[in-house]
Amino acid sequence: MRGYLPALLVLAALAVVPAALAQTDPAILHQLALEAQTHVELQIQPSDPPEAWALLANGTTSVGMILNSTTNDEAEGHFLSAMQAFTRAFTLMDDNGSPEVSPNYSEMLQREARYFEQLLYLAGVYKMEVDRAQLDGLFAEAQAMIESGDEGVPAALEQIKQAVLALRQQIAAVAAEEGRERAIAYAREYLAQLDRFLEVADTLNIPDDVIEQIQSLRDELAAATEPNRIASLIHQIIGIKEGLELDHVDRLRLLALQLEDGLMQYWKAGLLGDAGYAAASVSLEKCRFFLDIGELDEAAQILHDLQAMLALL
Amino acid sequence: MRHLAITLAVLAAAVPAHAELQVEVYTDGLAHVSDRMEPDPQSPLLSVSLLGAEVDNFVATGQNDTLLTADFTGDIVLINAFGSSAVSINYDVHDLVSKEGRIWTFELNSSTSYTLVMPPGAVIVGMNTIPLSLDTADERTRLEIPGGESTINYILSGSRQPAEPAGAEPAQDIPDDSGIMPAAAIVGAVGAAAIALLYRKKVFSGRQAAPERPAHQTPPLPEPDNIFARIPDLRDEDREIIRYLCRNGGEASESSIRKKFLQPRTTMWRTIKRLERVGAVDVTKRDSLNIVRVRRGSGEGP
Repeated sequence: MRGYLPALLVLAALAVVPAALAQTDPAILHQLALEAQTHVELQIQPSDPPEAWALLANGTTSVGMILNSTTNDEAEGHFLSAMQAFTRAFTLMDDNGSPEVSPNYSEMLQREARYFEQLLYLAGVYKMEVDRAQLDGLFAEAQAMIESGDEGVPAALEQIKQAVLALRQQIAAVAAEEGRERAIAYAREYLAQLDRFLEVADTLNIPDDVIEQIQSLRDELAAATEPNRIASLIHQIIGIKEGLELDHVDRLRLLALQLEDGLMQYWKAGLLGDAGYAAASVSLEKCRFFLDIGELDEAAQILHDLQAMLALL
Repeated sequence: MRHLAITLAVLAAAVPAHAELQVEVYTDGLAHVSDRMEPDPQSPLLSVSLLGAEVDNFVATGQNDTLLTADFTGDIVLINAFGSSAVSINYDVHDLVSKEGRIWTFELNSSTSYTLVMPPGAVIVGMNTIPLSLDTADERTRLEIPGGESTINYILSGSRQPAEPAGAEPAQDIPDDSGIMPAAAIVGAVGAAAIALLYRKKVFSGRQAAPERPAHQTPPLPEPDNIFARIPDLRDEDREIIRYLCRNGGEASESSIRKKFLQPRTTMWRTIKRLERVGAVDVTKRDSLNIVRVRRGSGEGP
């Protein structure tokens, strides 16, 4: 027994390991490996095969070499070797004492409670009134049944699942309306951006049939009110636009358009002041001038600077 | 047709940057995933690869904590983000942990680094990756795991117990099924940790040598009087327990002894520990029970 006291005290020390960077500190790797080694030593038995004992010996040697390593890579190599040996040792060790996994009702209840709390929070976001007393009662009842080993626990958990599911459906119904409004607002913004694109599309050498296809999807999007349909239409349009074989100038012109829309959105949202918005607009005009005269590097630099500015907002 | 639409949407949907991914493993092998992402606000749809195909309790929320609708195809979920600059998803997943024998294996191929919270009492016995950091709180190990394939093997303390359990006195009532980690936690006070550190050098140097494999032996069960003669200082209640064990074929569970002698749990625990310390009995773990056995045929004092 005396032999195990140091081992357990080491485990105790490992239990209070502070956060530390393992990659820069082999001591942390050593502690992890030592914990594994200690547990193999505590659990290996005389009846276990010689291979398991040999693996324990190999792993022990590797653990000892972790702290003696001169580089992090070397320490990491010893760590991985040790952990591999301990895993294989455990695999070989006799498993008579390992009980089969049985349903863990406490954890099932814990998971449902976590989900329920999350839904309650969402209900609060939508200002829904939820009578939680009934569900709290079900949770308390199930907890008591688990503690007393009652055979009715699975049925009680199923009842809780159904009640939580019903709450989820209530929230989803309320959220759906809000989601529809958000999707329509998003579609409106996208349509404004798309219309700008269509205005200049004929100058970008885009084939007429492609423009017609985008125009058709645009009209469908304008009439759509269902979120999934809106998302699907926008992605079809994005897919078509990404498939266009635009030359470098066209791509820069499109980027200028997108940045112009982005700047306006940030300005409207108050994230960009009047002066900043005016300055950015001047920069965009300058960019277009450079594009017209073929000074593409200067135009690209202006667009790059504007992108960087937007990313900081 | 709907599947085709979803497939097309998956191809076009934006793949988000993961701002924070945490996987919390329960002791029964399920895992709770919390994933916070920063999607492209220009894209209405967000395509996310779930960490498994079998998930429960899925919730996706956008900025302002609004509930977002989602479509599932296998382990891909398409979330209607519609410009949300932040999206959080939470779900329970069944596919990350498997068990063979006593070894649990957590496997994940993640495109990003993540926080892994191990179950309470889990002891890592193997891993194929180098953690970025390590922290322990409330008996739970938290690891920062880099992106890529990672496999972590662990056991739950109590799945198999040592032949000779620890001898620390309990600071409080110890349940019969207390395992290694609760015992370690009790002695894990700052003082014990300091003592452990003093021990470390000796322990480490001692462990450089390969451990020896003990030999098997099953000596005969001694008579109670022989034990009393060998250990004359036993208390009356200790002798009663020895007699009871010998009548019972030499062994009994700690809980059955407690019931037989109507002793409080802590008192009985101390009595058994005392008997163990003086060499009268051995204590081993069988399933969740502490089994107390009369020490056979040594004939030596403690």
